[in-house]
Amino acid sequence: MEIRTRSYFLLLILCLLSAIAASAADQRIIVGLHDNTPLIFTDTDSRVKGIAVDILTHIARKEGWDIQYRPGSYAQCTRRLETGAIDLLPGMAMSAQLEDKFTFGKETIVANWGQLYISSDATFSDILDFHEKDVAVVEADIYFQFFETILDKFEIRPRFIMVDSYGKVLSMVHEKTVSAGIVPRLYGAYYEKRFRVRQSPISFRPTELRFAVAKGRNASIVNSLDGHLKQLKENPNSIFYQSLDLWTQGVRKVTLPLWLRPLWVLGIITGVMGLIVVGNIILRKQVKLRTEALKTTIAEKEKIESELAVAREIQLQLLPGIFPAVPNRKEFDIYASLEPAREVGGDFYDFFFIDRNSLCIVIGDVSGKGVPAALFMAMTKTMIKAAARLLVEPEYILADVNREIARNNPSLTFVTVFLGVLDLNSGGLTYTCAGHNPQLFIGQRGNTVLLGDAQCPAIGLDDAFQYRQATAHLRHKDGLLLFTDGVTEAQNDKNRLFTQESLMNTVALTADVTPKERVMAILSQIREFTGSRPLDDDMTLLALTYFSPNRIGDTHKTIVLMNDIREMSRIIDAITHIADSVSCPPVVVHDVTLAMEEIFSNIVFYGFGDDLDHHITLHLVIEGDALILTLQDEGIPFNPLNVQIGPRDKPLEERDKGGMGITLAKNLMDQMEYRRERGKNILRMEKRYR
Amino acid sequence: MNLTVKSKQKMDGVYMLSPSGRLDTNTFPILEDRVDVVLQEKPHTLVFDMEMLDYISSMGVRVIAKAQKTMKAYNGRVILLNLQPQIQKVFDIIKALPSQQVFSTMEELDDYLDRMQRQFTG
Repeated sequence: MEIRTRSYFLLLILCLLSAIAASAADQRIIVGLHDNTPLIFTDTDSRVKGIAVDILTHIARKEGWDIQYRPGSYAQCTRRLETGAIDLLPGMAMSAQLEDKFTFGKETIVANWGQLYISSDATFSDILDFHEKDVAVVEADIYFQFFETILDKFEIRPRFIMVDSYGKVLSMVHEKTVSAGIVPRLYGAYYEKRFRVRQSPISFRPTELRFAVAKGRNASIVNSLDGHLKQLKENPNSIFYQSLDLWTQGVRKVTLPLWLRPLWVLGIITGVMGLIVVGNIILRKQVKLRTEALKTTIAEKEKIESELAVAREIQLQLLPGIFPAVPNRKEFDIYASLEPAREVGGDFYDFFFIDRNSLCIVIGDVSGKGVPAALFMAMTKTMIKAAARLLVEPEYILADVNREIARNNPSLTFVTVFLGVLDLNSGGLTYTCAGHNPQLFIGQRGNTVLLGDAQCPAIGLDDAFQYRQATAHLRHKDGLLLFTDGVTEAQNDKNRLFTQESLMNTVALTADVTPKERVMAILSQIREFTGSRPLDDDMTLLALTYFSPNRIGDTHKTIVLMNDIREMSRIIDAITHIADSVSCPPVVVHDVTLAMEEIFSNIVFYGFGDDLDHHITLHLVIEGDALILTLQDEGIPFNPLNVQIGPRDKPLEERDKGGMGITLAKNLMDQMEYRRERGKNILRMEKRYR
Repeated sequence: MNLTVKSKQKMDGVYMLSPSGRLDTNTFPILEDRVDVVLQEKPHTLVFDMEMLDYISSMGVRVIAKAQKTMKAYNGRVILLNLQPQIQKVFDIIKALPSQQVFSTMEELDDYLDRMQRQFTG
């Protein structure tokens, strides 16, 4: 029994505790909500807003209250407050008779009064004017009732138009269906901009809107509210004043953060604009100054660059640069390339005949780079050529040039030179290597041998240097490759060198190609190796392939023809023979034959202007991938390349028929060149067969 | 290398010449003579069948051009048939061959001649 009593007791305590805990956690307060803009109202977004709401929300957060709004009319709200259906009513106008039923807070939320509103463009002179004028009012409104009573005493009787809301009052004033309207001043302040109405000087019946609770209930709530309100009113930046500002300055007014207030914004904008303007002026000035400085620099640079470009042009003109260089000599084919590291460089090459059968080939590298090296190079090259014509043997040539340079060379600039003399009849090569790296002998299958004998000192340092020479022998289709150290020492991004070994490996892949193709292959290999890195040093390559005169007949034929069209059969035989030796496709043979027939018949029929016998010489030769035919005659100067076909849009039968054959020939061959030399018409025709 | 020429009358007013071999500076008179003989008949259409022709030079082209010129005087037509690639190439370079004058097969030619025939008779 005792145990049971105890457990009941415990249960009771638990219930109480939980109730206390619940009430401590969240005291629910039901607040009456009647539309009293801007004190408390439901906005268009159906949220409860207003001055009282802001204050209540603030205080509820501090007190841990759970505020719930219960909407109703003002009359409903007062009744509910009386019966206890709601706990609190904000914004009740304090009056003596109400104090019987309700307890008011000591602190006023806000003062309100009645205000007479007129249309914004109406003029107001005197209240007396309102006699028998229409004035819109809300019937139950305390301000209206007061107003009517007062006016009545002065026997001023306007016609009061009863409407059911303050909004309707203001809209009638705006539409001028009434002369004036009565609304509370807070409502008017909030909405006057929306309705474009304005206050008249008439205001009356001030009231203090306070929080109210039923008498004898919830006194603690009113006390708390009073305490907080008092505090809030003491602080000019509190939520109370912010809310008041917000809700009494009109519906369109939005409270902006400090930095967005118009004056501030204007100030900031002006400041920023000022900064921009000043900055702009400074910047423009700077840009102008810099531009001028840059212009001067660029002009100077351009001048230097154009001078360097001219220098480079002159330098390259010193070197034999037209290939094929000696097309009438079938004993050799030669090609060379020089790529300077700077605009002008110290590398050079040369080749020339010492006599009818001796070809001199030279490659050299002057120490240093740029303009000084280029000048020295030009001098050396000229001196070598001059000496070679007289002295013939490489050792004598270089010894002579060395003496000349070394005698007057205070800067001690030196030149490395490889010089060879090739006997075109025998293929015998005599060479001297003066401080230059050993050059390459290339066998017919691309195998390479270093020409390492006859290594002598570089030219220009001591006039007492001795030079000697060595010999080598080139057989049919053997070759030479001359190069400067810019080739073997070309570097890639990782500072690795191309090396002589890579050069020899590359050459090994170029068996049976022309010197030009060999040089191009090496250059492309080096470019692939160096990648984007620019040249560190001049890079020069000279390749030569030798053809023994005893073996040239295979791909080289000369026939002498009479000026008789029947000689065509000999021409066809010769073309067919040489074409077979390199397996020309039949279509090439056809095109070449037809072109030859057109040109040859032209010479036979029109070339001499007489009926005498004449000789016409035809050379046929294979050069690389091309079949070259050269026709020579001693007839009337005639350049067939100048012949034009008649207008092509004309029907065939109306054409100038003379041009037809030559047009055919020009189109069938890949290239045609005409020159008049020593009383001869020389026509060179080229057709690629691969 | 030589040139032979066959000729036949295909139908009324239509003659066909078939040169075979090389038509060049040496051989063109052979064809030229045959053309002259045929043209005496005043054919309204002259067909050159080039199927067996291996080679043509500008002198050969001239023979055909000359025939065309003669026939044009009385509204006759020259037609080319079966051009080998190397022959076609020569005409292409000279760019003087209206496409309606070239037929690639005998059937094509026969169709054309049939249509012409109907036009004349009908």
